[in-house]
Amino acid sequence: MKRFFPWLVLIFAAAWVAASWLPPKITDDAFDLVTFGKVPVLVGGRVKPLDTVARNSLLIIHGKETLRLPNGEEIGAMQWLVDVLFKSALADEYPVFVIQNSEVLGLFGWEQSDRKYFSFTELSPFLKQIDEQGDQADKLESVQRSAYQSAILNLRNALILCQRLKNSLRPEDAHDFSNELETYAAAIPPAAQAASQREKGEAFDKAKLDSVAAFVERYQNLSSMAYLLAVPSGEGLQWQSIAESLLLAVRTGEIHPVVKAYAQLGDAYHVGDQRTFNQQTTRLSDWFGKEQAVATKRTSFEFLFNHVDPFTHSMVLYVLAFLVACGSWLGWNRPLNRAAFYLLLLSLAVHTFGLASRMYLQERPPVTNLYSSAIFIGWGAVIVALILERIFRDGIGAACAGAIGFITLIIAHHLAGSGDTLEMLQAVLDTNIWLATHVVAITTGYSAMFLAGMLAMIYIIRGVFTRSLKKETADSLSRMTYGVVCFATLFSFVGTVLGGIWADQSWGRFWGWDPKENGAVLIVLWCAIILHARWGGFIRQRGLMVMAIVGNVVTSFSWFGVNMLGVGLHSYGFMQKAFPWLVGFIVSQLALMAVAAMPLERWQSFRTTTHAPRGKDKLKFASQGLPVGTTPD
Amino acid sequence: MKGAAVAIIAAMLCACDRGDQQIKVYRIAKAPLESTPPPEATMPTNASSPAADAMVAPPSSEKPQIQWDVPSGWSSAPASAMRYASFAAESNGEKADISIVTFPGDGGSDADNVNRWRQQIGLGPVDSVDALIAPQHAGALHFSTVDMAGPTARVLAGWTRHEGRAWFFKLTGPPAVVEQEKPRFEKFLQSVRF
Amino acid sequence: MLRKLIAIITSLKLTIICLAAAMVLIFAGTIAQVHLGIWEAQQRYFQGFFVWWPAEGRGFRVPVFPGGHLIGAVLLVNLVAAHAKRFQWAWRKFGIHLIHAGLIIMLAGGLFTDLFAIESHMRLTQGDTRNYSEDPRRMELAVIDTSNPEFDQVTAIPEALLRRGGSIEHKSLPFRLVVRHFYQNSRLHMVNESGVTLQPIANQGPGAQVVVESVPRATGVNDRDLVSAAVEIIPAKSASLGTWLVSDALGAPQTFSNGDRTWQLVMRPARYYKPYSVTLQKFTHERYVGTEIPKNFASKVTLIDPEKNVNRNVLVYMNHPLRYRGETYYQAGFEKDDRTSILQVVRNPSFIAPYIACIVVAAGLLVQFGYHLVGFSRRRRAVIA
Repeated sequence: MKRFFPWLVLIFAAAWVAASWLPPKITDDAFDLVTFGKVPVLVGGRVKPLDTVARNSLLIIHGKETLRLPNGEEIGAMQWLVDVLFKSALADEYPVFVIQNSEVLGLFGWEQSDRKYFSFTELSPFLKQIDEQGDQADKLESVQRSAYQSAILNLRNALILCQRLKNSLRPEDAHDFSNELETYAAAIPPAAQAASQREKGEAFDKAKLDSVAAFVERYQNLSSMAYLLAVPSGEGLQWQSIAESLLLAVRTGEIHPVVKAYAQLGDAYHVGDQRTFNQQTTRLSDWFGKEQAVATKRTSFEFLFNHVDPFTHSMVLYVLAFLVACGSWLGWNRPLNRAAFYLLLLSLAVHTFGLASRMYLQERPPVTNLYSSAIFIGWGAVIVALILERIFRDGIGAACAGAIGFITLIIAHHLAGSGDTLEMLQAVLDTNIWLATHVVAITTGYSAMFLAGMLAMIYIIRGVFTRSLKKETADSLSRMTYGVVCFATLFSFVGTVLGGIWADQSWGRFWGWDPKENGAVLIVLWCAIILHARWGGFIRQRGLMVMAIVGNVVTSFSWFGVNMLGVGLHSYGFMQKAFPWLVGFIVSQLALMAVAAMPLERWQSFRTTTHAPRGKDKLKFASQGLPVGTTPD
Repeated sequence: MKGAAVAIIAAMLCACDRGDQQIKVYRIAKAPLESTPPPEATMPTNASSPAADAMVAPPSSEKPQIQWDVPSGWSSAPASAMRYASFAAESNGEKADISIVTFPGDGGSDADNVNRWRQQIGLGPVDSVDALIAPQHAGALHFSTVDMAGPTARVLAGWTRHEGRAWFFKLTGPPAVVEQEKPRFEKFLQSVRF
Repeated sequence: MLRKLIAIITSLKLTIICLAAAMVLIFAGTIAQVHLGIWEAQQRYFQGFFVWWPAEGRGFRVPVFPGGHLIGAVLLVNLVAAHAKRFQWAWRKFGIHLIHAGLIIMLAGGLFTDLFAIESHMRLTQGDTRNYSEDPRRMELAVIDTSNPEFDQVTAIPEALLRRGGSIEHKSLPFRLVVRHFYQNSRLHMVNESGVTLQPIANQGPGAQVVVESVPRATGVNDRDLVSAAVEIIPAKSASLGTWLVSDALGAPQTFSNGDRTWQLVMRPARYYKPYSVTLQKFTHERYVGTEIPKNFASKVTLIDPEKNVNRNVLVYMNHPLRYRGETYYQAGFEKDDRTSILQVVRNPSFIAPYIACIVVAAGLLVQFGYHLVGFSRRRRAVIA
């Protein structure tokens, strides 16, 4: 049992992960939302599958990727999207809009209750009010907005997004859209004739011109609303919305096949004809497969990526590994330790798949925004922690890996709320060399700082509250922390300097005292202080641990805090909601430092050991922090 | 060693008395700055690849290339479908309108255009407009100009034809404003280049 | 005594104190940027020997914390001294020495840059040609002798001298300028404007019709002070030419004559003339399809340098500045109509220092880590065996 247990755990976990790779089943009598979900569209400057649009839009509007209907049924993002696109009357009844702010509710004369989701129909009497209030809030800088103003602005933006989606593929009031298009197409040639007659000053049929003019006006209105650019035209990113394509048809006299296919499948969905819907969807998907082969390959992969959801899976595995590793300190040491290690390897593999997929989809180095920095920091820290585990084999590295992996992925999950995490990059950042070197080095430095902090937390918690911190464990923890701090110093320094070189190359100055630059240099300075204090013998084991925890505070400030200031060239990743969390984290770290400041006699681990660090022994114990060059083993 | 440290500190303290405390004296040539563009064939020197030039190609390259210097005091007004560009000038609450209109081809005969403008400011048509038109040179360009005043409005117009297009520059408004804006308008015409 | 001093200067404690002080300073300076903006915070915290309180003291002010220059200088001295004193040749130490040598170069370069680098702007609308850049943060009073048909002779008096007040004399000027009033930030009103009770401070030129209201200094990131002053022009041999109002808010230069020469007087952002000119041919602002996210900003400029026989087109765009004759032009901004481009112009004589420092530090890191890695694997092998 002891030998097989780790393998059993691994097999179970692997089977669970593998299950998500199976393609979703489509029954014959259902709408084929899988094929439809892979169809590429251009939104936010990037070609992506409809599935991604559905998930991101629902996330922005609803805060979640699934939607629970009043009858208790839960529907996926794709289901919601097709209803919005083709059956807007039905979708208007869905309770999707989140309103939690009591002042916003008060604006509508509603009392705060358990309900926080509202449908479009419920909100429709207040649209004008919401728009005005939102407009006012929009004029303020995001830092200046009150909670009410942020909430009303979010609601307004969600409503706008929803309205634009409704009018993306067909006018929301359309019933038989393909029929409408046929009428339109048929009206074009006579109108063109009439127009050329008028040009020449001959007699012409005004009614023929007017019939097309009505359509043109309708599609002009539609094109100002459209959110999805669904029709590829020509090379590269020259995509048009359905309406724009229809307006162009006045000149060419022909309606784009993609527009026709969307119209037919939309009509079919509207009346509940799943056979035609599936046929047309296949036709559409075949057309894209032939005409837009590269884009289709990418969107199919992105669909798989969405579906596999690697980060959620590895998040669960990290928690599991952390618990198992902690368990290994309590008993049944070897098998649990191994099981944790295997789980971590599996989790890391899934994590790596996710990271690599994002790089492939975006064609960018791993870190491009705050979201991806969280993913990458977790990834880097897990790898370093696993190396430590491999060297020391005492479960500490494994516990750190599990904890940091889980926490960073949770942070990433919460950072994803603003929509597409594969968004396009601001002009300044549009350079792969510097993203790949400077940003990666800096974030690797963050990883190492958090890992050092985590090791220190384990040292203090185990030392103060349990008796499990033996001298050897304490020593190896100290060595690990020291090594990781060295590693962090190296990467933070290199990253900061590379950032300076980037700045000099781009802006002609090496250093500009920008908040993000300052944050990076704070980490470097703090690392330098830790190392010099240790080399000079000013701190010993405990001092190193406390300073490593301060490192957590410094790093979290540098990673998140400076973005909250909302100034400088790097303030692209501004976010306000995380502020209480940051404060909470810093307070928790300060509390831990206070705990660590208790006299060593009060520490559970040191009080009970037979050679308790008292008197001379205490000195001996404390002198484990040796100057560099004389490694304690 | 210590000497080095002292030297560094001394250097830094001296440097505190920097240029922003001192009076500078220099001479500037009065000649206008040259601005002949270099031959177009040259590659942008620090562009990393030819693609970079393609990258910055304007999205609407169909627009004809024309440049001018907008006199201070004129504000941009929205260009409409008819107009290539518009400006507005204001004085004592009265507004003058400056329009730039372009047509492919020759843009109609001078007689038609001038008589249409006359009609717009409340003047009757004339048989021969040649007497009204004065030539004006702006660099390599030749403008035809008119200056006509009606009872309540005055119009200054200049037009030129370049590479198969006709360009019309027109200043219209109450006589007082137009009189005041006249030097600027003339300078503006001088600044037009392709 | 001397020995004790050397012991302090070379001590590791001093290093740590400096590093800690630097952290506190940088943290405070970063937080201060929220209200002061980057530029002002930089001036107060990093580019000075002390951080003063109160920052805008008229009467007294006390240093409350060492500023960036002081900390940097002490750290520099400490590093140099410590290494000079303890230097000994050994492979074990070689990497560490290299790293610190690199840091010394970097720190010295940084201080040098802070003291001597000049940053200015060049604002160009399409078609504009300029042969100077401006520093919008620093004003100057330009007194220009326009009598010579070939050239103008400019005497530029920096804002700091005007602020100091008193009489300003210079050998290029046949008259004295006496500063009668100085306003760091001001608003101008017409004298007959309703509700204005102030009296004009000048009696010559358009300034005689204008009154100046003193207002508090601008603190916003994008606001700037409108500097105004009243100067009296007193020729050496004749009577006073009256008091003139000079202000950033007044547009055109004012003209006066003294003897047979004609002069212009204008308060303007400090100018840095170049021996070459830059013409903006075209400014491009690209966005990603279907979004407002900027994809690229690019200025196509023509560079003409008659001295060096240069006449060429250059594309200045994101991450690709123009470097010419010791100056770097980078795309810093644009105006809303997408026709006007703002180029930042940086002259930094010590820009090479960080590069040298990087190479030295990188070499040091390689040596040090290589040394440790060899040692570590040797020991592990010994343990396993």
